[in-house]
Amino acid sequence: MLPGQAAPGWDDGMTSSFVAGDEKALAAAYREFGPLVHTLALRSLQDRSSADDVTQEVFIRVWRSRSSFNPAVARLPAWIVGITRNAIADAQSASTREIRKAIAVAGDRGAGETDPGRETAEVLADRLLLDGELERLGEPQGSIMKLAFFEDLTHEQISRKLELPLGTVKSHIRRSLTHLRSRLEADHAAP
Amino acid sequence: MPHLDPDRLSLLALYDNWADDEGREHLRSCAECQADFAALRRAVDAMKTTPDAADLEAPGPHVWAGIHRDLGLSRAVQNDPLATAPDAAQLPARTPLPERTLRPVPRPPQGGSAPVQVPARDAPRRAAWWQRPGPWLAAAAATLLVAAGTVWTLSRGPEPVAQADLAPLAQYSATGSAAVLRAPDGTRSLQVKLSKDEARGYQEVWLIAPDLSRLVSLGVMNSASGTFEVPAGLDLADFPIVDVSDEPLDGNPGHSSVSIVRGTLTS
Repeated sequence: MLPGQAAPGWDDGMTSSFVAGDEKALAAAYREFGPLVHTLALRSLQDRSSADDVTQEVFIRVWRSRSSFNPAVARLPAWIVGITRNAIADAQSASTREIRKAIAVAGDRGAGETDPGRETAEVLADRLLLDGELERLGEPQGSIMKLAFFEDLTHEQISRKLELPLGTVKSHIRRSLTHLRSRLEADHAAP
Repeated sequence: MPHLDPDRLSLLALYDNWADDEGREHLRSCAECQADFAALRRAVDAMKTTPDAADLEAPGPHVWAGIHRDLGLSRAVQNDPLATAPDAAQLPARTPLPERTLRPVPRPPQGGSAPVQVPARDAPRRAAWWQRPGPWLAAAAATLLVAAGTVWTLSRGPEPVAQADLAPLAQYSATGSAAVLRAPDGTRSLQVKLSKDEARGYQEVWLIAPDLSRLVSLGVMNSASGTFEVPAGLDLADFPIVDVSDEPLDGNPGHSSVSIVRGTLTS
């Protein structure tokens, strides 16, 4: 994956076929995102058969509620990730309170030992959620964040390069990071 | 020490090597700042790191079978999409066509008839769908209608049977529309109108299958608009996506995988 490019395999041209009810577009979405959805479910629920059920449920919801998908709010991959998170939460709340507590502890990001599969799935999912957000920040915020993320420029270097006051660059960085954080915490209106 | 101010916390989250020992010390002892830091850091990680998709675990074939059954999908999509997809990572960025399938293709004259496999140019590491091997309709079936005027010489005007709004893909801003017109003699043509010609190389017009596995070249478009003959017998329902690509002058007849605009025909 290239920097800033969340889903190179997913073309927005497919999204209109999907919304129009083309079953082949659903199959393409499954091919593209099935492994990610399944891994997110597996790592959260720690049970293969529950993860299979959630994966199935996600794509059934995705298809049945495609008319509620709003491309102005999020790209299709981000919407699918949102639905996945909701379906996982539903599966968790269907379990008993005790199990839910255990999952909450086990599922705490960054807690304890690292799990490469979970880590990968979570970062990929986050990346899909943030896809396109740098463009949505507007300018000069988008340029500032691209220079910081992808060219590793310090805020002093960015300030010189874009000829902006240092304090302005700093406050753009703060506001932009806060915006990205809130996008990760929002649910993208997923059913 | 008071809590870290938000600007400082952002810089700490953004730069691993940001020299602020006092700030990092505070993070270790303050749960509140640490929680804010972790949330910001999550966004930074998502933007900066490149996860390895090989760590993902694909669902078994019974999962798609369940989806297929529950939704009552058609037989056309019965096979597990994950089972039929070849490993794209093992494919070259542009799959060369076997020699025997090459036929004259509408191309600007550029000498030499044999295709040359060209190194991938700034292509995504993964091959796009249409770069995976698949049944190719001979691009030669599509004939470039050089003189758009031939359509208009007919006594009655052609009627539109399908149209598409064309929206820009990444890095481009052109917009436009496409319409399929049917002449009284039954021949169909695709009329493409863009707001501008944004190609770095040249524009080529394609009709593509919904799953992007097959595509038909309709020809070269050297300006912001053009009209192209649709191959007789081609079912537009099988190739509903209108695509204008940016093609380099590299002699490779395949789609460059760089699309300028795209849209789906509806009647």
